[in-house]
Amino acid sequence: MDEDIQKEIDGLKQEIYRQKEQVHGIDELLKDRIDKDFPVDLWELSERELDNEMGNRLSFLNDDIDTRPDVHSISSHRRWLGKPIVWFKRLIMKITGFYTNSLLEKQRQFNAQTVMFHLAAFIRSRRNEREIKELEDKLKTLEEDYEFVCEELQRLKNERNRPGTD
Amino acid sequence: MKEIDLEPIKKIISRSPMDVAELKKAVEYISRRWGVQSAYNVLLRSEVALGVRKPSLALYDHTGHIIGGGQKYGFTAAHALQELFDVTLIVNRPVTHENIKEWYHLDLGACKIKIIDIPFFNTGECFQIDPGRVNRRIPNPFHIISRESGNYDFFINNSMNEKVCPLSNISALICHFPERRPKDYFYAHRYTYVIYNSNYTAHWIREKWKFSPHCHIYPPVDMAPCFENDLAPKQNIILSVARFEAGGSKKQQDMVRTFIKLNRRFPDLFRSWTLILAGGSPDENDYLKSIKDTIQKSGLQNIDMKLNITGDELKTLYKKASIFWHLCGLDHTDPALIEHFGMTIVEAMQNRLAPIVYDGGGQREIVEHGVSGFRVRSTAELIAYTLKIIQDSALCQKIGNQAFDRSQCFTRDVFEKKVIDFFSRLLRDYRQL
Repeated sequence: MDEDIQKEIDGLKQEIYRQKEQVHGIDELLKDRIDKDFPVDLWELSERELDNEMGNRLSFLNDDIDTRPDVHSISSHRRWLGKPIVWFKRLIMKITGFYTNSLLEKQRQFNAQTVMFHLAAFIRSRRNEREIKELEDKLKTLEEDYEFVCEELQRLKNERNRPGTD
Repeated sequence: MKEIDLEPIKKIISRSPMDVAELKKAVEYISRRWGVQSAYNVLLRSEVALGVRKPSLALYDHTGHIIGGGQKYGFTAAHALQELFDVTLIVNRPVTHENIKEWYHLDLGACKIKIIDIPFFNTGECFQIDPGRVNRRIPNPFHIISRESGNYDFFINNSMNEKVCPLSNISALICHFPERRPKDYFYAHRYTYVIYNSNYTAHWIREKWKFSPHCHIYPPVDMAPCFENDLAPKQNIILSVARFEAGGSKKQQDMVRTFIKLNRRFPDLFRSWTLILAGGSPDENDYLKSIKDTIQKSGLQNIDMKLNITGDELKTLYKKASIFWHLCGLDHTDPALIEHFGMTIVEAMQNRLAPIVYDGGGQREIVEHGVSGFRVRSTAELIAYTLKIIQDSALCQKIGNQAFDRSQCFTRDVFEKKVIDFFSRLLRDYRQL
C-alpha cells in the first residue's frame, strides 16, 4: 500500500482516538444506553445468593435512612447564571425546611427503627442457621458412632456365637 | 456493538488508489450516527483488512496476579494466540512474564503486559478486586477497562467479570461459572461470544443469564509425567487434591470420616492404605482445624495432610497414588459450590489414578462411570466403589489406564488447537470486512 495513504489513515486514526479520549461516558462513546435494569426474581436465588441479597438491601436501606434534602445536592453547571440560581434554590430550601423538617424527622426515625428491626431479624436468622448447621454436624457424628457401636456389637456377638467359644 | 453496514467502507478501501478523503467522510458519518468508538473500530478493522498491521488482541483478567485454574485457562489461550495476534495482557496488579512462566510453564514472551490500576480497589477495605462489591450506587470502577477494550481489534475477558463493557470490534467473555445474576452494570450479553468451560457452566449460564453461550472449550490440563518411565510403581495411597475452603465445599471432612469408617470396618485391609489430603490453605482456617481434630480423635496414623505443597511435590504424589477421591458438591444444593469442571480430577487421570468422584457438576463430563472411574452420590457409594477397586488390583490398574486415555481429551494441545481454530475463523471473517 502507498506509504502516503498509510500515513493519512494513521493521522485519521489518531484524530478519532483524540476525539474518543475527550468523550466522558461510555453511553456517549457508543451513542447508546448501556445500562439497563434487570428485575430480580427472589424465588430463583440460592441460599447463598439470598443471603447476599439481604445484606446488600439492608446496607442500601441503611444509606437511605435520612430522607432530608442536603443543601449541597443543589448545584448548577451553568457558567454565569449558575451561582444565583443555586443561591435562590438554597434559600427556598431553608425557608420551607422549617415546615418540612419536622415531618421528615419523623420519617427518619421510622426508617432507622425499621432498619434496626430488619438487621436484628437478619442476625437472628444467621444465628439460627449456624446452630442448625452445628446440630446437623453433631447428628452426623452421632449417627456414625451409633453405626460403629452396632457393628462392634454385631462383631462381638458373632465372636461369642462362634463354635468352640463358651 | 451495534451492527454497522460496512459495505461503503469496503468499496472505499478496495478502490485503487484509495481516496482517504472519502474514507474520512464515511468515518465522520459513522461517528455522528453511532458514536466515536464505532468510527474508531471501523478504522481499526480497515487497517487489518488492508494488511497494514497484525490484528491486536487484549486479554483481561482482574485476578491475573493470583495463581489459579481460571487464570491458567486465559494465559494458555494467550499462548495459543500470540502468533496470530499482537497480544496484550491487561491486569490490575503487577505480574511478570517470569511469574507466568513459573506458575503455568507458559512462555508469553511475545505478549505485552499492561497494568491498569483501579483506584476504587486500593482502599484498605476494598483491596481485593471483587466485582461483587460494585453496585449502581457508585460509578462503575471497571469502566477504565471497558474504555481500554476499545483500543484493540479483539478483546477477551477471562475473569467472569461481567461488569466490563466490551467496546472492541470482536469480544469474548470466558465464563468459568456465572457467579452473579444480571444486576447492576451487567454486560455479559454485550459480548460477541461467550466461551464456556463445561456443559455444566453452559446450563447455569442459560438459567442465570437467560441466554445461550456460544463456544465450548474444556480447560487445559497438563500434569502427565514427561516420559512414560517417569511413572513410579503405584503405592497404596488414596489421594485428594483440593483447596481447604473455609466453607468446606471440597468435602475433605467427609473423606476423612469415610476413611475412618473403612479402617474400622476393614482394619486388616486398610492397615496398608494411606489417605493423603493435599491442598492449599491459609494459616487461619477453622475447617482445616476441624479436620485435624477428627483425625486426632480417630487415633489413625494413616491419614496424612500436605498443605501448600509445591508443584513438584504434587507431581510426586500423583505418580505414587493409586486412587483419587473428589467429593466437591456432595450434599450441596447451591450450583456454585459444585465443581464446575474439576481440573485436579483430570490431573489425577493423567497419572493413571483410578478416580472416584461426586456424581454432579462438571465431574460428570470427565469421568465415564465404570469405564474411566466411578461417580458416587453418597459416602456409602464411595465406600462400596473404593472397596471394589482395592480388593481387585487388576480392576484398579485397568480403570487407571482407561482414565489416562480419557484424560487425553483435556490436554493443553487439545485446548490450544480449539482456541486457535475458533479465533482463526473469527479473524478470517474480520479481515474480509
